[in-house]
Formats: sequence, C-alpha cells, structure tokens
Amino acid sequence: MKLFRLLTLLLVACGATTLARANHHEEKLTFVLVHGATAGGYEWKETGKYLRDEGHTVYRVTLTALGERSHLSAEGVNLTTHINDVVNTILFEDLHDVVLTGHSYGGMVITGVMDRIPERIKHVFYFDAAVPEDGQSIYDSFGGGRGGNRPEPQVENGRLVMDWLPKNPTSWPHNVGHPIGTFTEPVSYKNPAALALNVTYVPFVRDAADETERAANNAAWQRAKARGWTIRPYPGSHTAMLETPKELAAHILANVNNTNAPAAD
Amino acid sequence: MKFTPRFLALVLLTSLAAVVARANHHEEKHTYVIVHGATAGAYEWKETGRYLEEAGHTVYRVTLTALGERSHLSAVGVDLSTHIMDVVNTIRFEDLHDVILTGHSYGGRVITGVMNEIPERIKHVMYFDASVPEDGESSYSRNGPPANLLIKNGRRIPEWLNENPTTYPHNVGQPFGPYLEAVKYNNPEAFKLNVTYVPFIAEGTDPAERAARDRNWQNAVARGWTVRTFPGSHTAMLENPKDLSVLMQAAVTDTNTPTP
Repeated sequence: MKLFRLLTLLLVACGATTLARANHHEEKLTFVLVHGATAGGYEWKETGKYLRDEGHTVYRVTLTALGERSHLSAEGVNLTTHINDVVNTILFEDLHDVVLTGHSYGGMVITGVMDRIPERIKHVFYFDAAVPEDGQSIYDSFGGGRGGNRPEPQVENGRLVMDWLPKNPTSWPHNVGHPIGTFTEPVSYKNPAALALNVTYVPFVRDAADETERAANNAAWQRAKARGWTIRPYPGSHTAMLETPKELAAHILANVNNTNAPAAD
Repeated sequence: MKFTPRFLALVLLTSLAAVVARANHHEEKHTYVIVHGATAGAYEWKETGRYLEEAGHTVYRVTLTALGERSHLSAVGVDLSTHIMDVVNTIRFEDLHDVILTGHSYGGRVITGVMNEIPERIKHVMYFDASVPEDGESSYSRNGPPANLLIKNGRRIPEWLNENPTTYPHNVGQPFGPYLEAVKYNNPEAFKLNVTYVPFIAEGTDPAERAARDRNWQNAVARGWTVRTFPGSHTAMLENPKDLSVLMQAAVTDTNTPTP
C-alpha cells in the first residue's frame, strides 16, 4: 500500500524533526558577544539571530560610549569601563557557562573579563581579535597610530576620531570615535583559572596567502598558538560577520567544544 | 492500536497543523522594547522577556545608564534625556520598527520622552504601574522632594537600599538628575499612539479607590488610553511574569477611545 508507506515516512520525518528540536534545547548555550572599536552590538545582530534561531540565548553587549551608548561621554571611559560593561551583564543577568566572544578590540575586553570571572565562562572565541599579554594595552600589543601615508588620528572629546569615520552621521547604525582611554590602559591576564579556559582563535583570512603570511608573522596568532588555543581561520574581511553571518554562526557552533592543546613553553 | 492509513493521516494532519500554527506565529511576531524602573535594571524583566521570546517575539530589555549592569557608570550628569537616549538609540542602532514600547514605574517618564522623540517607530505603548507625566512636568515638579532625601555621588539613596551589596542582581541608588528634568510630550504624532495603561492592583486594595486618587490613572483615562488592571504588587512582573507576558501579547491590539 503506497499511501501507507508514504504516510509512515512523513510521520517518521516529523518525529525526527521534533526530536532534533528537543535535542537542540538540551544543548542550549548562552553567548555573550563583544564588538570591536568604533562599532556596537549591531554588528553582531545577524550572527546573533542565527544563533537564536538554533535555540541559543544571545547577549550582544554594546560598550560604553559606542553604538547605542554613543550619547554617553567618552571622557574617563577606559578599558576597565568596558570590561565592567561585560562582567556586570554576566553578573546582573546571572549567566553561567557563558560562551564569550570578542571581535577586534573586543579581544582586549574579553581578556579582562576572563581574568575577572573565569568561573562563569565555558569557552572563549577571539574573532580577528587582539590577543594581549598580561600588562599590555592594545597600543602595546599593536603599536599606536597608523603609520604609512594616512593622516594621524585626531583625539576629540576623549575619542580617537579616525579619518574614515562619518563626520555628521544622519543614518543608523554608524561607527563613532572610539574612547582613547580604552587603548592606553593595560589589561590584567594572570588569573590561573583564566589561563586554563578553552579558547578558539578565529582569524578572518582573505585567502591562502594571507593565512600563510599571518600565521608566520601575526603576533596575536602566535600568542594563540603558544597558549595551545585551537586555531580555526574563517574566510572574509576584518568584518566577516557582516558578510557571512549565517556561516559564521555555524562555525561558532562547530567549535564550542574545542579543547586547548598543551601550551608550548 | 492499529496503524491504519486513516490513523496515520490524522496524526500527520495534526503535525501539519502544528507546523502551520508555528508559521502563523512568526507572521505576528512583535518587537518589544522593555524599560525598567528606578534603582532597578533590565534583569527585573528577564522572566517576562523569556516568555515573550518563547512565544516567538523579539525582546530588547534596555538597562538605563548608571543602573543595573550599567551601575559602574557615574550617575553624575545623568538626566532624563540620557535615559531617553538609551532607549531611542537602541531603537535606531538596532533598526527597530513597529516597536511595542513598555515602561515600568519611573520608566513611564522615559518612554513618554521616547514616544515624543520617535513616534514613527512605535506601534503600541504599555505603562506598567508607571508614571504618566504631562508635558513639561518632572517628578520633582509633580511630587516635590522625595521624603528623607539623601543624595550621594549624584544618586538618591532610598532608606531601604543596601549600599554594599555582595550578590547580583541588586538595586542601586537612582541618578537624581532625572527627578529634576522635565519631559517633553508635545508631539502630535506621539498623542496618536495607542497606549495601554496597566496598574498593578495589590491584593486587598480597591481599584476604584485607586483610580479616583491616582493622577497617572486619571491622565491615562483622560487621554482615552485602554486601562487593563493586573493583580500584584508594584513589582508584579517578578511575581507573575508568565501571565504578564500573556497580557503584553493581548494588549497589543488595544485602541484608544476618542477623547473630547
């Protein structure tokens, strides 16, 4: 009986979907996503949506004086302010087993968060991000200024105003000048429990040549490797999450259970 | 039980109906922007928000500057405009439209300013046991100085506040600036928004008696807003978040009655 067989097949398929959905819920994760310099939580909206669609909980923290918090003064805002933005989100929302991610400058912030509350963190992702040593500021880590033939960035009202920023933006979202105090304050990264966290370092790479060159010469990459972190390159520009958010969400989910290799000494 | 084609067809139809129901849910999906009250933080709306999310809606719980997980920020210089911008910028930077905007307690002053600033982004507004200020009014101009006023570092410290909390989440001193700043509510587009006013009615209290003396309630009625009472204390969202989330979904289609 053809109809019977067809109906049985469909029924099994429906059942399998339901089971898959139920399993999903059991493995539900809590993500805390931290954006980079001059940006805001909005840059991770699409990636966050795909993670939510898979049943996970997503917090996109916007750092003080940036994005939808850019009406706040940047004067006096430093790296500690931004670390507190994330630490307090985790404490006030009572989050545990957090998958913590940082993009670009956000690597400085999440390093400080790891040092403060490692017991709340399950896994960490650095997306094309700064990987500082204990006691380094991002300027120590990367070198200040821009060099080359580009004009030196200007500081206005406590913000580093890059030449490419929109002058008087009339549309949203938009990048804004970055609080300079966050670039000069060193980060603390010496808590043994923080050093023991499993971390995945995800450089965004343009092509094979870019990957080879940076694996050989990029300080963040080499620190990640020396610490035994899992390295999982992802194709795209420095803002790859805006180009392929769905695939990045899949990349994140595929790597949350990575474990560190023994660190090289 | 025999797995006859008829039985299987029935089960299949039921499954399909569930899938269709889920799809319909997605079509009616709303975007909620939820604003907490004085000394609190978005954490007070975590459970209510979770129920809304489980029903397929998108939820933004904004924590106001110098409160909750933003309490490490100085309260000096924080005023009502700061808190209004916290919400306006969330809506702009996240590119939200047809927002269901809700405010609790002091949050009523904040959402009033948001309505005045960007009415075109708002689909419906809900005041939960909240202030309903008039144009040009501040908390101070309506109520005078709070009783036993103690201000430290730009924050009002209520008598009941634990100033050295060691657990999370916790209340913190409320920035005093917002008490003093008058709210603007003079945009004709803001007046047209459909609003539901939801007083929380504590057990043993008389709603009629409250309606007769509560200026917020009276302003709501005068403006033709829909009034829906909800049982509970001033923080009823902590007591009965699930039922409150049901009200928040039902009230979305409330429409104002014409006012003289």
